[in-house]
Amino acid sequence: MSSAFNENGIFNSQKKRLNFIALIFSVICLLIIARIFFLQVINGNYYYYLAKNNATRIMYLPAPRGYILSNTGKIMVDNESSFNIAVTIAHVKSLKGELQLIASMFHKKYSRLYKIVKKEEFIPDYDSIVLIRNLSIKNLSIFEVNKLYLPGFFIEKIPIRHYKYGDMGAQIFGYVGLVSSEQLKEKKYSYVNPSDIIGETGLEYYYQKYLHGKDGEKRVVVNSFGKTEGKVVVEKPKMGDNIYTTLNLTLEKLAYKLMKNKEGAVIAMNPNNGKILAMVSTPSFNPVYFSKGISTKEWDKIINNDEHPLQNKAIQNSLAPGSTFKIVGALAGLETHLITPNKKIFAGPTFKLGDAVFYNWNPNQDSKINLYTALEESVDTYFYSIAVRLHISQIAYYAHLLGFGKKTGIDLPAENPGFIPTRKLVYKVYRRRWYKGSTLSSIIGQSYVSVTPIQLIEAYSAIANGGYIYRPYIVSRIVSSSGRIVKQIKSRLIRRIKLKRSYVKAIKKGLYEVVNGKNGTATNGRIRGISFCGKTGTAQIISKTYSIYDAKYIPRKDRDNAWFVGFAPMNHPKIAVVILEMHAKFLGAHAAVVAKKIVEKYLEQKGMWKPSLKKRKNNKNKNLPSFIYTSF
Amino acid sequence: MKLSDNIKNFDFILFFTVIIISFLGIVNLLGSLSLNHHELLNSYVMRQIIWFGISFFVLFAIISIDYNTLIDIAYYIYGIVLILIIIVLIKGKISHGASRWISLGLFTIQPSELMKIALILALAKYFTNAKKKYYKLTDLMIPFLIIIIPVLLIAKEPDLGTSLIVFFVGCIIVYLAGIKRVSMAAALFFAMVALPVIWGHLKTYQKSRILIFLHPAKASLGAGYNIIQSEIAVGAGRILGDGFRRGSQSILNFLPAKQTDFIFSTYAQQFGFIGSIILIGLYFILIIRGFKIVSNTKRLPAFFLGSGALFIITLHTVINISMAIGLLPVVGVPLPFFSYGGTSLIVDISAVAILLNISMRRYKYQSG
Repeated sequence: MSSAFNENGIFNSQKKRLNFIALIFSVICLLIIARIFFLQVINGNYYYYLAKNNATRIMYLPAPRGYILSNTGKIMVDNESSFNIAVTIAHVKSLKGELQLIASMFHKKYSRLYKIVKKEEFIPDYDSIVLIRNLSIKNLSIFEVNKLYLPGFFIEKIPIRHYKYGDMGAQIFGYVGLVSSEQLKEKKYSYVNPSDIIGETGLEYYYQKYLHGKDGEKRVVVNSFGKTEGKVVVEKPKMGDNIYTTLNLTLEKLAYKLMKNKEGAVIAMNPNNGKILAMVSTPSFNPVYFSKGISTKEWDKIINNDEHPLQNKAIQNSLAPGSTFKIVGALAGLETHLITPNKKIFAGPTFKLGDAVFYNWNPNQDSKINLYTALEESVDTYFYSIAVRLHISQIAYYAHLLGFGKKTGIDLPAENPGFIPTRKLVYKVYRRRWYKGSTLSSIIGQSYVSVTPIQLIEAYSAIANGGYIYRPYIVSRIVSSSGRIVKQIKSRLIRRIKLKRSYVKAIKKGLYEVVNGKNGTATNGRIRGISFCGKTGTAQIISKTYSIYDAKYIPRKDRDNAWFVGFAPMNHPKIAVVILEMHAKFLGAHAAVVAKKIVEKYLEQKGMWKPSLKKRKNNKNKNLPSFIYTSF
Repeated sequence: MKLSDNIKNFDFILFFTVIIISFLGIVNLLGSLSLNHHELLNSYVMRQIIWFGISFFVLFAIISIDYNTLIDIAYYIYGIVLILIIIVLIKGKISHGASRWISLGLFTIQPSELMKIALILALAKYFTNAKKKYYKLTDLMIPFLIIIIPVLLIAKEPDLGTSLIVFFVGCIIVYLAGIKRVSMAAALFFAMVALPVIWGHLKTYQKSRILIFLHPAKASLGAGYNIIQSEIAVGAGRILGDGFRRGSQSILNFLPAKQTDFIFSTYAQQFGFIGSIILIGLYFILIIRGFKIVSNTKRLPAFFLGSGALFIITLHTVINISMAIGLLPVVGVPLPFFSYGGTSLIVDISAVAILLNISMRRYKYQSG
């Protein structure tokens, strides 16, 4: 035992100190009781009155939404000011008289304005009621001139969403709207205040959390004697984060220009990382209608348009891929050793399966051909002879490998997963039995097979880059209004498909011939000096066949969908594109021209291609792909 | 020592005081919610009742183990809790947010709260082993580190309230252990020097809370809003209170953090001065019983451990109530057995369990 403690184990000095602390706390306890006595007993009535008249009102000041910018930081979506006339009833001298004046000034019905005010009868007098929205500059000045006669009425300036390029990319950016009472109940909108604007579709929806910002607050206390005099404390709103997209504005503009009067979609993507360079869906609409409050007439026009302008066809529209799907058949054939690239197989004008006859699109086909020719000329019967020896689940397996039949995971809402048939699935979904004939139709991208443009470009990118499936993405980084990087989004490899290099090479060569071969189906997509590879596709809408496919004689809705999907250059691909023209006047070959223009523009930007022949000659050797002179 | 002896020596007054306060706490939690929020009501009140179930399980677990065994493994407990705090900090760094919680599926726990118990165990062990009458500053290096490391880590989370409680409880135990006058003066001097540095590291909102407290005149609606609304709530209760579920300040949501930091204001408006005095009286009984247990103990480890437990409860109570009535700046400290929240409840129950534990075994070591 140390000297600190006596023989009984009693430690007196420690206990003394404990008593000392206890004394301090006793004093604090008395202080607390005194304070509570003061608050509740002495001043109780005063605080009671304050509580009963607690007129602290919280008004929310909406935060400006963050901007949406292009890959180089050009603003594509921002905010502009809109002016509303609002009224604070508490400050009005004669409601009737002033409302009548307003009505006559802006040619509105007095009864309607009065109804708006009466509807808000239960809101406190110090809150403001919006009477007229989106005042024009002219009306703004009329109001300013007459302000003196309108006590209580004032101009409220609010930020509204501004889409700099109007209809272009509307489905990608999406639109915003007033938050609904149902949405307010959702947990994910817990930070949203009533009367806030939120993203409803597209990037506006997907990145709502970041774009929204933090609303400010205006706290007003009306003093306890009911007088209007009150203190106002303002907490400033904090602007939302800006999102930088991967979109290349030049390509986006070009793609929109090329598709403007058509129905369809275009995607351009970097096949080496999944960055979306351009995405367009047509026909389009101007999202600004939604920020300004859309009129019933405009809404009906958009909703009743059978070309579905609100739909983002690039990711939400799932259609038969037609011949673009033949790379799946080619891959399945090669991997199961049914074919080799060079082995020639007889392909006639028709293919018989029992009693059923399957036709080649070109009735003149009648010779032994290899895989390259089969792809180049898109020979259906060649692929039928593969399909007849395959089970549908084998085709589905390779389709799934390339990313078909499930969402790509792009950062946009409401993506369609498409549909890749198997016996089980077709029975489950359609309650139909599987016939061998459907396997044959499937391999040429008809029957139940349905894909979205984004899946198609992902699959072709995987062929282009040697088997890497990347998640396509549009937003690369999110930066706060003060410039701090909130989130950096990197490209994500979903999986690597182990493909034999010789098979990839063979398919690529076939796709090269489609554009550059003698009998290729997309020879008008040729780009001088660039090894542009791709595949056309035509997907029939109806079973009716017209003897001559001439748009003039076929109603629009019956016309086929035309596809083109491709990439360039062949060996070190820089860009992949997919074009979908729905109910097209001209078929896949024409879609190839659209693709060609986009690829040219992009490679020109990258300094790999020049439009003028003269200039190109100077660095001919640099630009010409080497494989043209070497055999495979 | 037989089980029957333990039951005979069990401090039933202390135990039932806790039960009564807890019951009032549940009633008060019910009263803080407006009637038309049934889902909310279910989630808050049911969760808290489940937490009470868990915490009484913890209580019986702790009193069934001899406190000496707890002190034996004190450093391990301390180490584990410290690691948990570091995990929470790293997790918060990765997710770019202030994170104080570790998720256990249905519930979450705050390791920083658990540090309060871990700290008093560790300090009790240290000072029992050291056995000195007076300590010089140089003797106090290890206890200083035991205290300051969690204090800084918790402040970084940021959880200023918990950090301060850990600091104060630690300081009180050091003071009780005995510190030379010269050394105490030196420590105070260092603390004064450190103040501006600490001030510089505070978050803006923490600074503004302290500034508002120091200059109540400037406390307008901005950051002073909380204190004003809390004082209005307490005062409005008057002598008899507005009645159960009639506390307008909490029902109408004028009162922020009405179920946690300002739970006392919620109570005071409903039950008035009489109710407040009854509640404070209950806490007084609780603390006096605890004080008695500590001053009757004849063993040094029990003395340090018991004092630590006692002051966890005392500081929680005093700071929380003082804050609600505007005597102290706003820091997040729970009112024992009253505030909504699982981990803080477990900590306060554990503190009570430690006191009961010591009291039960007070004759066991009499001869030793």
